[in-house]
Order: sequence, then C-alpha cells, then structure tokens
Amino acid sequence: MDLAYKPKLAKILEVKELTAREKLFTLRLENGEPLNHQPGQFVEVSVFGVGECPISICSSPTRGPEFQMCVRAIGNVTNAIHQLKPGDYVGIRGPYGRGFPVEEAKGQDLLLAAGGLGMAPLRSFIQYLMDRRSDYGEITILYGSREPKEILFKDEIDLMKSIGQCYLTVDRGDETWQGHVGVITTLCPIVKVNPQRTIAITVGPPVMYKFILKEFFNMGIPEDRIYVDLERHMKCGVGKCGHCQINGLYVCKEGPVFKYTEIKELPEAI
Amino acid sequence: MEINLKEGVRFRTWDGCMLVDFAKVAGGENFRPTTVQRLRHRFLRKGKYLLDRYGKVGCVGCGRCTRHCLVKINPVEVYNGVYNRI
Repeated sequence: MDLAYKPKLAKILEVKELTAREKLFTLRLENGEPLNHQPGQFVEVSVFGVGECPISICSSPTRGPEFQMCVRAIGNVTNAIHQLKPGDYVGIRGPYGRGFPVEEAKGQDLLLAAGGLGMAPLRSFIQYLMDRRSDYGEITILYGSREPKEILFKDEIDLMKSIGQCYLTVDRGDETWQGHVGVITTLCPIVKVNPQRTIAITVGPPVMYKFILKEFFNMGIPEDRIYVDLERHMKCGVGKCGHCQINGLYVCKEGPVFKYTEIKELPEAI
Repeated sequence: MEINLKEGVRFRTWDGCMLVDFAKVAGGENFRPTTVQRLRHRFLRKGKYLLDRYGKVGCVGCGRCTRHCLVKINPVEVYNGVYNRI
C-alpha cells in the first residue's frame, strides 16, 4: 500500500547560517537514495513532536543524493528546524508539485526574477542551469532583497554571474552597499532581452507578482512564455486538504510553478 | 506518545476552509482574508471544483447544514444554483 503521509527519514549533514533569519540545511535520505526531484519542487518536512511544513528544495537534482533547503525561521516548525544540528533527523515526504519548465526552456533564453526568499526555490533551477549550461541560451537573473544583509547565497553570486547576467538590487541600501537601490521592477528597464526567445520566470513575495508581470509585458514577453511560482500553504502536499487551493487548482499538484496563461483568469492567483 | 510507549494523548484541532487562517501562509499573507472570499471558495469547491475534477459534487445533500443554519441558507439550493449557472 502506498502511504502518502508516511515520511522518510533524512539526516541533517550540514547547517549553514545564511542571514539572521535563514539557514541552509544539507540533508540526505537515510536509505541513501537520491530524492529524484525536479528544480522547483518542494518537500514536506516534519520535525518529530512539533509538526510538518512545506519547504522548497533549493539544490539541483544534478548534485547527487544530498539536497538542500533554505529555511526562514518564521513559524512553529521552522523555528524548530532552526534548533536542529548536524546529525539530527527529520521526516521528509515528497518531492511534490510541478517544478520549473526545464524541458520547455531548452534552447531558449531565460529571464529569472527572484524577490527575497524566492531565491530559495529558484536556486535549484539556477544550479541546474549551471550544470546543463549548454542546453540553454542567454541567462539573465534579477534578484531583489530588502537589505544587503538579507541577500541569500551571497558567496554564490559570482557563480551566477559566470553563467549569465546577474543584477542585484536592494530596497534600502546601507553604507557598504555599492550596487543598485530600488525595488526589483526598477531593474527591468536596464535589462535587454529578446522577448520572442525568452522564457520569463518569477518567484517572490505575493505582492511582487503584479508589478513584475507588468514589466514583463512591457518588455514584450508573450503571456505563454511567462511562468510564475505561486507558493501557498501546501499542508498535505497531495491535493486533499485544500489549504493551497487557488480557485480550482491545487498548488501542491498543478503548481507551484504555473504558466501565466493557466492562472490569469483566476481571481485568487495574483 | 510518551517515552514509555504506553501512554499518550490524542490531540486534534479544528480546521476548515471557513476559518480565517485557512489560506494564510507563514509570511503573513492571507489569500482569502474576507468572509465573502471564503464562502465563495467553500461553495465553489464543493459545487464546482470537485465536480470538474472528479465528476461528483462534494455534497451528498444530507441536509444537516440546512437544519442547523441560523440564517436559513440551504446549501443544497446553493449547489443547485451554482450548477445551473456554470
């Protein structure tokens, strides 16, 4: 019998502090098997005695059986995850959902826009692009954070620059910040893309989508070449509980990555 | 479950799509903050979304909600109305 709610054991191998609120966890399943996920998928992580929550996988499946999660301490479970040390065990269900369009994007240019913690799911795709660089065209990465000290994966920005253009911005700079200041949409006018060859993907806080989509349209990117990663509270992960529903769609099954044309008529989507 | 593996508690909490934090995410955003949105979602889910997906409505028409509703909403009528309109 297939037990959808039975978690697999996974061991925490490494914990790395990224910012004051986010930590990066490296895990491996206890049985040593790879997770077999697609970039952009998520898992349900359970901390025993506390609860379970959905977390995006932020490493690429091309990087071996270990996988990574970037967790912000914000609720009961995520705060409990932050207390865990290397050697501790968590439960993993999944991977669930439909990830980024790795096949459809082959041979195309890519415009990736991440806001804040949206970098976590997008990093799985960026790593995938690094490992399969020759399959894809020009790559442009836009990344907006609130403050310089909240930028995730700071030490990997140079790697991201090595596969394409990478523009960073912060909403509020500080005395050490030399780069661009302003919300992520202010980067769009300086970016040059060929709209008919480009697939645009955006991940960010809910408020961001409306504005970044407007910029994508201004650039002339067709609606069916835009993908949005709509994260909701995927409580069960298997399309039963309805917490993550956007009208009739289950984010945990049909999403979290949607083509814009699939969700543009839905009032609860954006 | 206690550590002696003999005692424990069974702990359950209410949850439902009409409760205010049903569609809330950890970041603080609530995707259905108003009663209207939640009511609309409840009736459309049972009367349309599940029908479209599985070919059956999510209500068996037992009439318990109708009997207990203080403001005399009859869900069966609502589902029939939904069905006739869309």
